[in-house]
Parts: sequence; structure tokens; C-alpha cells
Amino acid sequence: MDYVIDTWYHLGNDGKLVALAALMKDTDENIVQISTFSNGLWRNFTLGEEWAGGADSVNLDYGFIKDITNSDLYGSVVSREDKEINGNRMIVFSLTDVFKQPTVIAGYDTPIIEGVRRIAFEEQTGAILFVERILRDENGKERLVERIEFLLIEKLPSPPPDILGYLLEP
Amino acid sequence: MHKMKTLLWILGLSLILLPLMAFQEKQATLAAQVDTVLSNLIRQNVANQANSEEDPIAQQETFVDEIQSLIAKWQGSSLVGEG
Repeated sequence: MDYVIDTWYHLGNDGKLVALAALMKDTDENIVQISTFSNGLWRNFTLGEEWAGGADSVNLDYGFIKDITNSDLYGSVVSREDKEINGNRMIVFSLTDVFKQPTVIAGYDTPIIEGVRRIAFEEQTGAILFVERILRDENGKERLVERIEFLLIEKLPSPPPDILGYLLEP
Repeated sequence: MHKMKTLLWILGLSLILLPLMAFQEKQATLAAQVDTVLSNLIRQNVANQANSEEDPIAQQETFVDEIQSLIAKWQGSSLVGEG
């Protein structure tokens, strides 16, 4: 299922999360789920759940730096390649985990031999383009598990009123 | 008596020549070993150089540096609508 998540972060000077509002919408712009974090409280308005918790710094690398640094521990193979897709030059970093033996996974007709995570940055601007996870089967065919494409990232003085409304809701 | 003298000469010469031959053989063996050790060292050195070029730790650090500089570039220049 494809969906779009509109996430607003309020960051402190130290880069740590102060507040967050996330609106998950389907491709027809219908809101599927709303969740927030503020004052140490996570809330899911759709499910009617809330729980106390902290928040880490927002990682613009989607955890890749940590995973690359720990790749020896997990036996992941790190690689990098320059690519050009539709005239857009990008740098793609990959973390590949080779399975000890071909593994049958439910939903896939051919045994899987490795899992690959990729992150792509636009070469010119450094903007993050996508993060994806794929499984490669023993015929070399790639099966996409998840792909997050970044449509827009911007920094604004304040969020729109409806987002503030979710954050201020008692 | 003549035969005996000849036999003794041969025996004597053999006693002198055998250690010499053994010495020569030993020298040859040592030289071969030195050659092997040297070629192994050279091979090892070449392998070490190849490994250092693909040192996974160095490679990881390079990738991490590059990701950090890409993010810094984006943060520095590409955020739009900053108030």
C-alpha cells in the first residue's frame, strides 16, 4: 500500500526532538492516521492510544551511519556507487546482509539469498532522495520490501494551524 | 696391493668429496629456501598492500564522512522557506 506521511518536527537547539506531528494519508489525500509527540507524551489519535516516552535526535541519515559503523559486528557488506537516474546524479550507499543459505520466505516463490538496504543522496545538493529495503532471490531478482521517497523537506518558522491544533490538543 | 691402494684412494677421496657435495647441496637448499622466503615476503607484501587499499574500517570511515558531508551540504544550502 502506498501512502504519504507529512511529518512536522519541532527541534531544539541541540537537534533533539521537542514536538512532532505526523499525518499519514493515502494517495487520495485521505488521513489514515494522526500521531503526535509533545511534553514527553506520544499519542495516536486514530487508535486512541497514548504513552509516555522520550525522543532521540532526528537522524537525517536514517540510521545508516550507525549501521555502517557497526557493519563488522553484523557482517554487513558496505558499498557505494554513483548512479544517474532520469538525469539526476546520485550517490547510493548499500548495506548487504548475505544469508548463510538460501532462505524460503513467505510470499516469495524463490529462496532469498540476501537483504539490501540503500540510501540515496542527490550528488549536487546532498538532499536525501530515498531509502529502500530489498530482498534478492537466488536468481538475482530484486524484490522491493519498502521504499521511502522524500517528496519535500523544508524548514519553516511555524507549522500550519491544523498541525498546531493537534499538538495543543488536551 | 695395488688394488688395495687404489681402493684406499677412492675411499679417501670419497670421504673428502662427500661432505663437500653435501655442503654444496645444503647451500643450494638454503639458497632455494631464501628465494622462497623472499618471494613469500614479496607476495605477502603485495597482499598487504591490496588489503590496505580495501581496508573495511577505512572504507567505513570514508563512507560515513561522505554521508555526513552530504547531509551538511544539504543542511547548509538546500533547506527552503527558512524563516
